[in-house]
Amino acid sequence: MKKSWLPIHGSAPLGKHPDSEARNGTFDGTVVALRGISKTYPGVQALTSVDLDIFPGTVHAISGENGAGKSTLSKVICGLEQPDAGEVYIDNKRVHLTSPQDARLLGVSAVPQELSLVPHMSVAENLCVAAFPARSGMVSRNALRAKAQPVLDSLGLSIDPFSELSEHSPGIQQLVMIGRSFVGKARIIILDEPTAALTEPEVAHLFEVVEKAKDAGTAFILVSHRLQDLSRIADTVTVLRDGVKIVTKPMSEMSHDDIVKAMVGRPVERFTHEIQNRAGIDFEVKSGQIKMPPRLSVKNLSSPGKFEDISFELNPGEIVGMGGLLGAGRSEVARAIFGVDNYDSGTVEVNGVPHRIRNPREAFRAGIVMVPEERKSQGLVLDMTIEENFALSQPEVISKGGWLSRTRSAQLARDLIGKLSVKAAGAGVPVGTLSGGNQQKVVIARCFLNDFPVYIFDEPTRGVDVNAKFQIYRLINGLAKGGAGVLVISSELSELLAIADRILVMRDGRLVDDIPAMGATEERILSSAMV
Amino acid sequence: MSTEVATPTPQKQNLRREWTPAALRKAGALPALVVVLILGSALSPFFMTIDNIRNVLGLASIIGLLAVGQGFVIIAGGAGIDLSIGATLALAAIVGAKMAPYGPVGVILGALFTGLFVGTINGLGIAFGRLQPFIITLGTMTIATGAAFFLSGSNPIRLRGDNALKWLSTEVFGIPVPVIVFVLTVAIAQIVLSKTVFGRQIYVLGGNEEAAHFAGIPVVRHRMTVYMISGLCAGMGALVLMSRLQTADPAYGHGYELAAIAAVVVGGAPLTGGVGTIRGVAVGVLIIQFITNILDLLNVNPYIQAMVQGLILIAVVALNRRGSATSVQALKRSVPLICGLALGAILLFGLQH
Repeated sequence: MKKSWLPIHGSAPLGKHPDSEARNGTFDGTVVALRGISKTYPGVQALTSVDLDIFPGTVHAISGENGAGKSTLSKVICGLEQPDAGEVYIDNKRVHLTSPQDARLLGVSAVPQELSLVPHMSVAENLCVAAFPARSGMVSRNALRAKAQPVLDSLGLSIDPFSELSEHSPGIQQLVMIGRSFVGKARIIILDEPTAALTEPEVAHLFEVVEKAKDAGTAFILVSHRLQDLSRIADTVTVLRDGVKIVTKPMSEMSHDDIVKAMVGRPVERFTHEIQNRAGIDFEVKSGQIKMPPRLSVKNLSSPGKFEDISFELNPGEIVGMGGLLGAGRSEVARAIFGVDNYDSGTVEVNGVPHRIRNPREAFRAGIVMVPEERKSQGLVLDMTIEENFALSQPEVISKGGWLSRTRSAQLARDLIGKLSVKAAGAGVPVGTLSGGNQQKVVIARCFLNDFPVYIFDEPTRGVDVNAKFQIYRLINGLAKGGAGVLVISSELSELLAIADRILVMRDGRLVDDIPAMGATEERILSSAMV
Repeated sequence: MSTEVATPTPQKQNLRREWTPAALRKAGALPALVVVLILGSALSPFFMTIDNIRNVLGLASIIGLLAVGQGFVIIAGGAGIDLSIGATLALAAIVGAKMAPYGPVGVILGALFTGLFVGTINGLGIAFGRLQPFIITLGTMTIATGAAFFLSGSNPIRLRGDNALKWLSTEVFGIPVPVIVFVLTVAIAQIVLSKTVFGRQIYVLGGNEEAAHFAGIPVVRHRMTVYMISGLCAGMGALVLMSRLQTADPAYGHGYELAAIAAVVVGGAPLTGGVGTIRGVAVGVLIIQFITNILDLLNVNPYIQAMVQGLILIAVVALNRRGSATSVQALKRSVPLICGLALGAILLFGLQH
């Protein structure tokens, strides 16, 4: 048996047989161990021989740009994908996970980034959805309560287990998602971007829950783009780049810069006001040398229940950030300006001309472009090609009298792929196969179909890797440099501080603050957003 | 940098894709049609005769016109379906016949306007009223049937012998005019869907309605339009059927809507929308018509015919299912279904004997 690499096992590699490691017990103490995991998708080498050790009672962060292989790796661990090569060990035993059910039986549970909840069922039912407590097929309320209540307690939630889930905030819903893993007595929990939709207090609450479970011996695998998350909660960090493990180190030995460097393979230039270089136009407009009406002027915009009495202006060449907690009404204001939703009263002027915008088509005509919050559901047709997605909003760019022009469309696709540096095998590739950052660039392409006076970006870099993020900042900056007015809504304070000239803060549907970015700090914004 | 990467690859990809199941799916139902034609000529000597083919195509053109309209509705997504077209055809025929005193123009305008009107009602309910297509068109189907029987006093109306609509049932160069009408309609519809902004936006609508809205595509107007097209196609179907039989019968079109839906699905446009072509729909129509024809030629009991057609529909959908990577996988997943159907067949024949 020792010579297992002899021709009897023709395919085994020369050298030490991987299984011998397990028998020697080299990775004692791990709850999950991966050895030499490789995975290839058509045209993409997603993972190349990745080793990973996860220990109980720790939070192991997996970091990397989009397309680095983070999600493939977590899918392998939770049984959604089978590796082409390599072994998975759980509790020192070689396992073959062929489905998430297999993984769940072994104590592995994944909390996906998108909430997969049933909004119109109760919190308790949502918690127990994987295995309803039943006696001879009947689900009893008491049994549900008995199962759900302890989990709610450990989540630190004092909500009625039989209240409808949709009544609760996204933060609570996220906790309920994690609670599902607790109900299933999971010992290994994979969290995929758990804080993406959460406000600061909700994040703090979530991390408390994680700490508590960690102390009880649960292992967490954290996939996150937010470096703050990592330094707050992670014990160990592994960085992937192009499917290869670059480094695994205790978090205490890695600074943010180290992580970013490992992610992109080279030091990243910081995006600061210095390189924005819009001083010229700022000066001319602000000193009154050029008299121009504001690009966008919103006055007393109200929509009962959503927001009230919103007034602000976007001046030529200005990037205005909009911050606030989730549910403060930021997206709602943007949607109303863009005509997705109706508003009750107030006026919207573009270049000093009043418009009553009732739908996005009229908004485009008035000169407003919006890059929506959810690229997959609101921005793209995932089954269609990159080329087809580029001109969704302005078909007249690639057509004449209602007839599409193949050549113009191909030309436009070439131009935009180059201009936005979209990484793809070609313009004919379905946009759904691209990584998040590249998908986002395809959505942003609609800003470059024409010269528009007003651009609105709602969470332009959500779920996008560091490199793509800076590219997007540069594109936004370029639009402002061209003299347009830009509104950027973001939940990431560092993002607002990096690109905005001033920052509007919303709270409970009202504009409560207007801070020049130069003097602003994250604390200052947060304090007006929360109070 | 990425531009250089972008240009050479598409061709390479096409080459590589040629023999994958995806390529077969892209070719649509065409291979299946070829198989059906070969099977037909093997099974019956009469199958490949000009008369037979002409006869099948004539029948196919009526369902075919309905299927083209249905294709627009289904590709535009949003749970789109038009159950009313069969009944609309009947109503359009009756209204057309009532307009016969004003000559052929009256008949044509009457039928087309009726189709367009019912389609508009559907569109108003679905696009503006945001009601469910299934329910709305079920309602208009019932209303149109009632109206057709009411208007005609539940009797067929004979067109006068000298009616100029007759030319619709004649032939040009040996090709029946209805077939020419059908082929032209398919060609126009195919071009509209593939080459015009409106057509491509229909696919966007079917692929992701919310994204379409955010991109400023007139979602409501387009959704309205596809139901109007569907109604108009039903009106055209009515004219062809009337000219063929020289009669307008309020019982026309019964069950045609389901045949049209089946043709669309067999032709490769799933009910989820956003995918499919009118060319494929036409092939789907022909497959269904030729299979019916073969069964007729073989003197198969009509009730067994119905069962066979149902089985074929299920088989096609099972094989075309999106998301199953290979045909083997699709087959594997269909094993329980096949077992169930086999059990049904055993029970059926057991009961019969």
